[in-house]
Amino acid sequence: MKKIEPGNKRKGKGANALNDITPQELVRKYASAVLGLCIAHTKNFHDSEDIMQEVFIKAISKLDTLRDTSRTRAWLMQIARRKCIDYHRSRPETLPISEEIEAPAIEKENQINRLHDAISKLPDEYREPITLYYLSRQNCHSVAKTLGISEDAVRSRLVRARLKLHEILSEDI
Amino acid sequence: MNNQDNCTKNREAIAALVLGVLDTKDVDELQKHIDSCQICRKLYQDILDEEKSIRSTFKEIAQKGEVIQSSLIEKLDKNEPVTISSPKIIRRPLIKFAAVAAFILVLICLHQFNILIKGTSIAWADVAERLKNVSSYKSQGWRLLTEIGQEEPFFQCEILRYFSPEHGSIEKSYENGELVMLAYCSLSEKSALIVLPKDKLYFHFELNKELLSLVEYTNPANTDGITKLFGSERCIKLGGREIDGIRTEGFEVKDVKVLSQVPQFLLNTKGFDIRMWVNEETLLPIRIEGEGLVNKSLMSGLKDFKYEEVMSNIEYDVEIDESIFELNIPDDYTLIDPANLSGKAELSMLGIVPCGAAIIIYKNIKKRHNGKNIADNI
Repeated sequence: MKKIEPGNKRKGKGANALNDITPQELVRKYASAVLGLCIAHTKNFHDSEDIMQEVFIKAISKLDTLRDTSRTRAWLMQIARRKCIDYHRSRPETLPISEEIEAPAIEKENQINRLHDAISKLPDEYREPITLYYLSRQNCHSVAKTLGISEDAVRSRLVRARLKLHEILSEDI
Repeated sequence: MNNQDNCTKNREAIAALVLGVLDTKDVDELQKHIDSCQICRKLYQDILDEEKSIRSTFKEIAQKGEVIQSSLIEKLDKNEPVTISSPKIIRRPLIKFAAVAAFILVLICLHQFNILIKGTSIAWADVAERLKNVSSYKSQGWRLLTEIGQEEPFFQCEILRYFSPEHGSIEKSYENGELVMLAYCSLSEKSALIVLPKDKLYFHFELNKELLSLVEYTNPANTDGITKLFGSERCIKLGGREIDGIRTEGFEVKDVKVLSQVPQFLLNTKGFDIRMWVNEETLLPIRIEGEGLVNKSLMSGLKDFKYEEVMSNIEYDVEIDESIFELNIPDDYTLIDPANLSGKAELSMLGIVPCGAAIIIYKNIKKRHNGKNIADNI
């Protein structure tokens, strides 16, 4: 019943986002921000990857319901947050990473998992700014736009998040 | 600046420096302090070393993200279905439970037009006036039940619904063109019936105190019920939208706790969001959308799922053939045995499935409706 129509921009009577943005453009433009947000709300990277895809599947199938394209970023973030909430509801408490992931002990993989685990221990208000900051190549303006807050607020949360992250990573050693 | 208190204050500035967000006018002064203070120098060096590792790890993450991004775009370019879900497995017992849960929501739909009547805005008053004169309706729509965390619904059906004030509401659900559920609610007889033709099963129960109180909650005459919400500030105007070439105006009430009276371990629902799209010319709703979460409970098959329903193509004041409401249960259909449901004791205890009463009703139906097949009415 639910069909995802990946085709190009549609021209129709009703004004909606399909007239202004293709699904491909949506993915290209916002993939990084969506991934950042998913990382902020999950406890392992593989789940973040899955949820990121789920977010776009959902968003593309609902793109015709988005009327104001200036809200695309906020709309996507809302879908992502909901998906992350669903993820938490549908899963029991995550096991420690060493037990949960049977991935080969690749150094890079371990680094990602260690960092992800540390981020998951940050207070709620810090996780999104810090993941988005690093994934946007340290661009506070972009983080502010994504989260709908001021750049000053981003900087302030970022600094506190970074110190907290340092504490967590130091304890982990 | 060299004492420990000052160094504590400098921690945020050091983090800001490493992150590259420290105000340029403060950089020189902080650098001088770092050069002269061993504690701050160590903190700065530790965070700086860590920063390199963090940035390189995020670079790895970004690259992995780009791979997913490319894969999604590639699928979209090729018009391939974009999905990550594993093949759908329909668990039939779950559908049975879900059907029961869904049916309870039919009770809400029975009154959802009347919900509008207590609206206090001018637009609602106009709509209410029109609805007061509606004698019957029929509609088409669909319903999706999707397990939380899954993209594909585990149950989806198309719905035909008829309402007549004399008979109540009857709903037929079709899955791939085949009738999978028929749900009938008779308020005059205070009873409800669910038939599952594929399984040749049916479920018949009286609307007990809990369910009747639920119906009462949705009754517009009850000012403490759901209508209170629609008369309140919680009713949001959604603006205009064109549906099938018709200009409509949207209204929404979020987080409607319609099923809060039902014990949570039996049916654990969160709030439902209900949207009405009203034809600007006729002032009658032509599309109604509802969605909400049903959490783990006996009636959800111990699963969390999302409930979505749309009623569209609504026709008012239509002549409804009375035979639609004559339900003839064939002899080879079996009343769903509560023993097959998980938790017979719990269900019986709550009176939601009064086993004895159901058996008596079942026998009466057998007597009243002998021989005719339910398929005759489909």
